[in-house]
Amino acid sequence: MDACRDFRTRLEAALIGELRSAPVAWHRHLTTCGACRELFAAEEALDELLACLPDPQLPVALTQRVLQKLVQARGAAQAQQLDEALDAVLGGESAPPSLAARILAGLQTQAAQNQARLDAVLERLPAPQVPAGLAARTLAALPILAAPQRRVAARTPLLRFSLVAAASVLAAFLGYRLIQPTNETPVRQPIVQIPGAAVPGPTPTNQVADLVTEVPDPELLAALDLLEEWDLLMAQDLDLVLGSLDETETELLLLDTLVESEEEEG
Amino acid sequence: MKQTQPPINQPDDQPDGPDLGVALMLRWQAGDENAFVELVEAYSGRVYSLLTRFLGPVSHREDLVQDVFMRVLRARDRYQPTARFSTWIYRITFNLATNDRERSARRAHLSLDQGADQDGGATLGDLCVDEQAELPEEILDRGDVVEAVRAAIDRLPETQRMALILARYDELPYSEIAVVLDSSEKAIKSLIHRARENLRVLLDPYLQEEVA
Repeated sequence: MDACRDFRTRLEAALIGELRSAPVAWHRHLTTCGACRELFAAEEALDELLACLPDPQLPVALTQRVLQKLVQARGAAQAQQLDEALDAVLGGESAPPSLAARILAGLQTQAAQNQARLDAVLERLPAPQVPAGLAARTLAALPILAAPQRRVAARTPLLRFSLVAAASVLAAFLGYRLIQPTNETPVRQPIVQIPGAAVPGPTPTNQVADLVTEVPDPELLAALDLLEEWDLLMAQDLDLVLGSLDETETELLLLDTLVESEEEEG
Repeated sequence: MKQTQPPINQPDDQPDGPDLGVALMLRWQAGDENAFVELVEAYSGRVYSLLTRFLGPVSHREDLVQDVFMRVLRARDRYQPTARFSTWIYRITFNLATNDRERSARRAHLSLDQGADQDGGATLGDLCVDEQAELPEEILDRGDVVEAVRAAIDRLPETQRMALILARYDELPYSEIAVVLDSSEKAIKSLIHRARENLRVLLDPYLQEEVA
């Protein structure tokens, strides 16, 4: 009986394809046991019958049709879900026309109101109290700004304008001096001084005496005074002064300087 | 012993090999919509064949194939590759097919499985409930062997039938059939054994000829 049980266990394995090759004991038992031989023959015949069942014929373009139906069914399912959701919201009543537009408009109004409320709340917030001397302490704590330096880069158009104005005044004065007629003959100084040689013209001692006794030109002095004032102004940060002028005042200042120089020239 | 037929539209997902279906599902979950098309192309034929063998040549098999893939669509986000994809989709197919059969039976006031146990322990008398259906022996008398075999399989209880089909035609191991039918390997072995016994009874006249 153990041999029959063993044979039938192997037979079941063979039926599902797990037994690839039958052992010798299999064949020996088949020759001696009629019941197992009949069982084996019946199973073999049944298996042949089952094998004669043909594979199902797949319809042409099955995949394409299934995909198309899936797309349609998916769209229909989504539409149905939407309808159900609307029905749930509306209690089974149909949606009135332009409902969506009114809902959107209401949402926008609500958003604007929310924004206005937020602005009002923000405005009620107290302004922060700035401690006295905060800027000074902050600047003092910054080593790079502890020692004030001339901010050359900051003096941009106004500084340039003041320098141009001063230079134009000086140039006008020098031009005026050049075109003035003079009776003095220029004295050419020798390039190399030869000891003992006679030097034409006044002696150095005489020249110094002439310079000391000569009265300075008042216009030259005035121009020098003006330049000195400009320089003082610049030293005190001319930007602050000129920066307080508006555009019209700046233009008037430039125009006045130009007129003055033109008058001097001629 | 086992005569295998060439598989139909069978993707490369042998038990020990790479699982094409799982790979496609994961690609699809990651956003590759073409993976779903490839999935339908790879498995629609197998689902259709399984439905044909299980339900017979009913006219709405394509609709059922569509329903199977609709279930796959809905399960996109929650799918976990805990088993082979073929096992998972066969389980869906089996559930849909049994539901469809129950609906048809209710409509026709007939049930092939009346009196059958939950595990498919049907008697021969239980297998022949549909008195209007042609018996395998009668078909055999007409000499239509294929129809006789088909009718005999169709008379098996659902679980026996599905277990036999998956083992014999789809070559699924017992472990995967157990997953499809939500059962144990031992129960599956018993199911297939009883299915073959029932078939031997139903097809006895022809088997006698074969043995002789």
